[in-house]
Amino acid sequence: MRDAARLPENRPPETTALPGGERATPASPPPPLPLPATPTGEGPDRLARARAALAAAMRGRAAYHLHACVRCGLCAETCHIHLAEPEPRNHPGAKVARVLSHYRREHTFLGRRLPGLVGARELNDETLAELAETAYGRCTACGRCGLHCSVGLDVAAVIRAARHALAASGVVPQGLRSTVDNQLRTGNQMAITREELRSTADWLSQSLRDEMGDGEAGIPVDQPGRRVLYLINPREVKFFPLSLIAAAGVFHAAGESWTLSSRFYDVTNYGFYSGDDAAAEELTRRVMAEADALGVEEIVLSECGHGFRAFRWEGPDWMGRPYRLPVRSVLELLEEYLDGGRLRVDPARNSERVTLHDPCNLVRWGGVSEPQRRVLRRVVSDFVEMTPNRAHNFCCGGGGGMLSMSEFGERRVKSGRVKADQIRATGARIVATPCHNCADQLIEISKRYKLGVEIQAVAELVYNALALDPPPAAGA
Amino acid sequence: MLPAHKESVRHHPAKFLVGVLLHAGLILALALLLLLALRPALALRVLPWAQPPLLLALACGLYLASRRALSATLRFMSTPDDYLAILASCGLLFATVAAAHSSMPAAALLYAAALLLYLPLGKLRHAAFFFAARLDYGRRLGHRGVYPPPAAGRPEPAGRPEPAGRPEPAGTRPQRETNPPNGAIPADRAEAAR
Repeated sequence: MRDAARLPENRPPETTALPGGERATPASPPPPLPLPATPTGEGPDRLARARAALAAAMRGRAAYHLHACVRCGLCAETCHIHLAEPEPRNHPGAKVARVLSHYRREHTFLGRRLPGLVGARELNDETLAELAETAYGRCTACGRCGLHCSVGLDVAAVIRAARHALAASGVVPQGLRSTVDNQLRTGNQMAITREELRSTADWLSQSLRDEMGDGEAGIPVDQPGRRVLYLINPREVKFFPLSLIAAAGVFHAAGESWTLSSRFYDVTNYGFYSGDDAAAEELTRRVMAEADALGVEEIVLSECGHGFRAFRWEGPDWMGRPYRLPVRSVLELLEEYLDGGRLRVDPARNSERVTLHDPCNLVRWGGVSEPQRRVLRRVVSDFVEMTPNRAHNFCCGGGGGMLSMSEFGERRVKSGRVKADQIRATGARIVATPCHNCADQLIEISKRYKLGVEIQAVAELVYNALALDPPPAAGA
Repeated sequence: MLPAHKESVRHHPAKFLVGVLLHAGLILALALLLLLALRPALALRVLPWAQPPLLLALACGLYLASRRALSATLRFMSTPDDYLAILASCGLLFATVAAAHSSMPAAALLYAAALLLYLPLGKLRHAAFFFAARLDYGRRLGHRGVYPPPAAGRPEPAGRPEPAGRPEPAGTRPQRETNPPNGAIPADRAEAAR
């Protein structure tokens, strides 16, 4: 269960004993900023920056989608936010209309000459704030409305174009901005120091060795020449180490050659969420450079929806060239292990009913929908789908950076009602989800809507099903 | 993705059908007016037969205009241009119907010409962007292996990069995916990874 109550008991205090008797320092000053922080909302040119960024985003693909919307209103029921709070401002068509109104005012003939006719609105401090409230606070850019749009346009592309403009003008919610700045400044969104990562890896390795009864098991850090560089969500280090232990245990059982990097191990990319492509590109570039420095053959991404989309699909576009190395999700690797007979699993070890939540960015935007299903069917004995599922699945409400924006917290949890109903209908006791953002949101909506379910990563269920010899210790 | 698979259609089949009938009527009207310009005699013989579908489309258009005016949610997201677009479209249908009974059928051609001038400026531009958006969205989802949904068989694992080529500047034109599609990993590579 992903809950602080189930953290291993030997979680270290602030200062950690390392092998050899050394003491790790609890924190060290972060390295200096390698990049300017994300733009701020100050300065007289912020509106010009917003206009230019909106125009630049529209010169790409977003303009197609912006101008294709006919505001027919038929997409109302496709949006989890509108379903939970059916007010006009939450309607996907209204969100597109708001972005369109600003684009028209600045960049179309009728918008400049007859703004009243086409509803064109000027970008100023007030309308920028309203646009931010719409683009960050009323949409997770999950893309479900686009998939079900009667015209067939990508609403999320329009919202992302608005986020580009807002990021350029510096009007980004503080929590989201801080997360991006943390990533740029320290290499990871939670500002975890390298020492903290190493010490956590050490004590988790010890836990893993105890659980598996194998002195060779562990979490290698900064090991050059390994086959796989594994990127993780810093939440795994800070709050949910069981998923990291599970992945490490599975890698060990499969005989994988892998390593973490203590410098750039963060699979998340909040620049993608905020609309700051320069930051997103820089975060991607660092990981690629680290992979080159470590001499790995492949980058494997931990269970993270937007991280997968950002690294697998958006990163090469940001960088303007293909990667030198393959990048894939750990789900695909887990399936490969099972296919290749590298793991012996016993589904009876996961006897409770399990359902699967599909993260939007992994499935609807990433195309990875089947490996996790085939893996789960082999490691649990009672697997049920929720309805709808795969690319049609509803967003949990925590996507689009929502979890980092406390000002929208209540709306986020309210919008999770749709997901709660889906989960309740399955009768499952465990919800597997290959995404830490989703997991955080699912934990919250399980409490709010009294679902009484446990949230687990897919790797945790695989680890739990490992037929180890000798068998794993109780509670593994 | 077929309309039948879309929730917007499944939840609102009648409204979707009304929209389809309107657009079918508009295409028919434009075709008839083109015929009127090129072969007036033939067009005047055909026009009476086209009255029922054109009138049906006109009714659909008027229904959609009234729906936009009466629904609070649609009113919230609509601009005067939205009403102008639907009423101007109804006008085209009306002009085409009237051409069969008028002593000056060429007036319908003048109306159509004026409408075509307005088309790229206002909401009617969706006539072109409809295709562009679907093409772009479909290519993206297809490239990533999202749609069509994976068959019952096993999809290939995610890919290995193609050799580096000329970089594409982002944001200057419709972006193509820089990464190779799902399934691009060569078999020998997949085998070696096992």
